[in-house]
Amino acid sequence: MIVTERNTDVVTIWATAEKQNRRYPIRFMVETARRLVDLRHYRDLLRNLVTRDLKVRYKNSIFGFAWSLLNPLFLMVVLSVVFTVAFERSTPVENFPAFLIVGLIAWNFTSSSLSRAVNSVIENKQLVNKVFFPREVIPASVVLANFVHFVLAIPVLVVILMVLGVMPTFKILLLPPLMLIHLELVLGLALFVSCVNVFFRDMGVAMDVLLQAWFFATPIIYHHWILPLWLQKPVMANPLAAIITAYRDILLLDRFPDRNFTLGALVSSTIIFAIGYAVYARYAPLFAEEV
Amino acid sequence: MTVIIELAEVSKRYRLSHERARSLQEVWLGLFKGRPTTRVEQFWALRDVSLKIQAGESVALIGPNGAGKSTALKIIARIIDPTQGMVRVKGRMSALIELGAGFHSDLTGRENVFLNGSILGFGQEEMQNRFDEIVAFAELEQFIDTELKRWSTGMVMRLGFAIATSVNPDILITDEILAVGDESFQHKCLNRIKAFRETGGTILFVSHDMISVRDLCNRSVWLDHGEIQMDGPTEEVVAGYLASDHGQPLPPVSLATETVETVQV
Repeated sequence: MIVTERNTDVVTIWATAEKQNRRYPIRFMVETARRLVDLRHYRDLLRNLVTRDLKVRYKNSIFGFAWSLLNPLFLMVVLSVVFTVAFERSTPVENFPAFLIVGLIAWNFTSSSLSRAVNSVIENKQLVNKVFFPREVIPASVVLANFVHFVLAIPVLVVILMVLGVMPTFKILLLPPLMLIHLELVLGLALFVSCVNVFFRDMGVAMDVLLQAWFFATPIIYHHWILPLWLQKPVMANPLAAIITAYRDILLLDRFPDRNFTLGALVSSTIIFAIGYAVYARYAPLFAEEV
Repeated sequence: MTVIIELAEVSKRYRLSHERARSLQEVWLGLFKGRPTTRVEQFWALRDVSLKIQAGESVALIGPNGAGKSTALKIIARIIDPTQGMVRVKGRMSALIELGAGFHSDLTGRENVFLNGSILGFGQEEMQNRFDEIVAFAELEQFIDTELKRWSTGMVMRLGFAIATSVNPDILITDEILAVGDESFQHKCLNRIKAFRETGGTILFVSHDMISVRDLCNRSVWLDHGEIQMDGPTEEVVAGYLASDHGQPLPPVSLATETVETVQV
């Protein structure tokens, strides 16, 4: 169903050919890339699903959008108190609350996207079972709705930082490209976990544990400097670690992010996205039978 | 005349779901046992079905429960992939398999029209142009800016039907859902489908109700055990079907009175 033309478009499904394609990786990659480009016909659908998500989530709540900020703010206060009062000597960095809030808001986007995306296909089984449309818009709309929150949180974050005594500089202009790398990473992971969860429901259950492990493996509430040297490299190979460190460089320290870390994050996020999308495209035709 | 829907030797195999290893634990244990913990039982819902439908034809798929009618419909609507064979569909489809797919009860009728339209593959602008007509047909002018959770089930169904048929598709696929709303609205729906047929639209209709099949379709395809038993003019095929073991000696009295519709919003 291609939207723009009428009567001229021919939709061909060739199941056997599609399966043969999978034996030729190059052809499969080309097909997948074309599929990605074809998604532009469904941008209205994507936009409507994102608005649905945003509208529905806060329809009957008083604080509405503020909730997405309350969680990181609350954690910031608790952790600041714990680290500055209880373990006074181990306070790792100057202006610890500011250090925390940047990482926590970035983490909040990651974790809320993934914990909601993992069940998204199953929750929309009524749609998957009854209507044809590219299945990738389901997890993508969840991630994009959370990304909208993330973007809206940035001005608030800047105000909080100013209250905490940090003045942002022109380097804040580096934030958008970094956020796009972050988005790419989260999209790739969301596609992968939501697809796996259709076939193995364990994924949905394991998600909480995995997210918790990732939270502590990422330098969010500590700085990677405090780690032993041999551990710093593997920890910073985590693209999210490089992204969050770069956010802090820009917002708190007024300096350019480490080029190698950032490039590494871009490359690994792209690889994760490509794998996530290819897996999703490969198994999406089976969703209607499995959910 | 052009072929608008073509199925070439289409087969569909299902793995029976209760036989399938569903959790990692089972897969994991299976690795140690050296053989699959569950024996996969296969079931062919369709076997070598070949079918050509010309533009402007209205075709009914009939057959007993489990004959593969809904599977065929879902394959044509691209919801599931065939295991073997090829399907070619020309033009835009609107599937009345589920009315109001993706309706959300916390959104207003207006918001749902655009959401549902985009799920069916129709853009914002297109829906904008048809909006008034949709609302007028569904007779819901008074409620369109109210949240769907305050609507009755019948109202929700009416809106779903109005959207699916207003988008001016080339092919209309319906799965036994003409029982929308009250008597007069059902009449209106049937008239709209007939008008769609008169203007050259192609209809694919799945039903157990032989009266509406005779009323609506000039050609019928009788499916049984996933294979085509008979394909031809409705009168002959329906007569053949009713004379067989599966056919009910007495067709249902009125149009789809037995169908119970559920809609989840």
